[in-house]
Amino acid sequence: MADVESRIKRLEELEARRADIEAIKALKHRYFRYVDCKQWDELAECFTGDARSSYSGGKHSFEGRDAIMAFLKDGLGTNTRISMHQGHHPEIEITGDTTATGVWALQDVVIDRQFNVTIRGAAIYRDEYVKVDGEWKIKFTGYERLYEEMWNRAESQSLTITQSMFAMPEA
Amino acid sequence: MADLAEIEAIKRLKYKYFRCLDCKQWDDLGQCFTEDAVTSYSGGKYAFEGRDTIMGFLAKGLGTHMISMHHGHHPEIELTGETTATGIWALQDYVIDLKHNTTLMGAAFYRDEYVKINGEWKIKYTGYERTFEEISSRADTPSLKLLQQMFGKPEE
Repeated sequence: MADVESRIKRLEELEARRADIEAIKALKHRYFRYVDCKQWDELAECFTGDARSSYSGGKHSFEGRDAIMAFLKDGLGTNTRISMHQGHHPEIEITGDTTATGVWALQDVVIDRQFNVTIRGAAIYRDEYVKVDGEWKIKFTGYERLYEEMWNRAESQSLTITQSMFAMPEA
Repeated sequence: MADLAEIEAIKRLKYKYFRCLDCKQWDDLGQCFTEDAVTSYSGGKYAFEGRDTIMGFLAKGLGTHMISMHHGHHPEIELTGETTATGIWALQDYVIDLKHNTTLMGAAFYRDEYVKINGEWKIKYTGYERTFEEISSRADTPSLKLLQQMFGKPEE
């Protein structure tokens, strides 16, 4: 009987751990979606108040949710920038009841319509998550670039944007 | 329940494989394979037997003048026994060759075999067939420039 009970407890622990991993994956998926859809209020909710970032190998390091959000809005807030950030290969480790780490592979493309350039790249993210009042939040996020490259879109004469989520601002 | 945990562990193995490949972490990458692993990359063009031979090929082919991104999507993992499994993956890859100033872009389907040894899943066989692979000279786009890179920096 004790054996059955301990097995049930073990299964419940495994199930809880799996649910935490899935919740953390969904958190990161939302994070990328809010970045690309420019939903700043929702994006801010993904972070803890004391979150820290170390984007581009520390080139863009910020302390506190407000500082991180100011950086992201400054970089991607304008409708002249269209971005795609996709995260693959989640390697999530639950390190305690309310703590976890994650490694992700990023592929991103940013079209800047003001300067008429495309920037594309890939990176490896290393994150720390914490569960606050039952919800997982990003406590630390940072990535190191495998590469980032930029080219002038005018060099491809036929290149035309045929659809965009964000209209160009009025001239 | 147990099956789901095995499938998750195999996905993690493949994620680690791609990460170690692109970060050139050869020792960690070697740990992903069984000693007797067999490869058939590019439809058999790069067929190797044994972990050391495979690792020799990968480390040589992806030296620091090569910046690579390999992303695996759409896992179809099948458990075929207590300690055996197969997997199909969709690959997208992008490789910048700094020596030849070219960019390679491609896609492929991997077909893998995995085996569980001492509680850890390893790659026993891996191979892919390309749906396409194309190479262009970066000189065709004069404005194209690298802003950041993990490897092959000019001072290296």
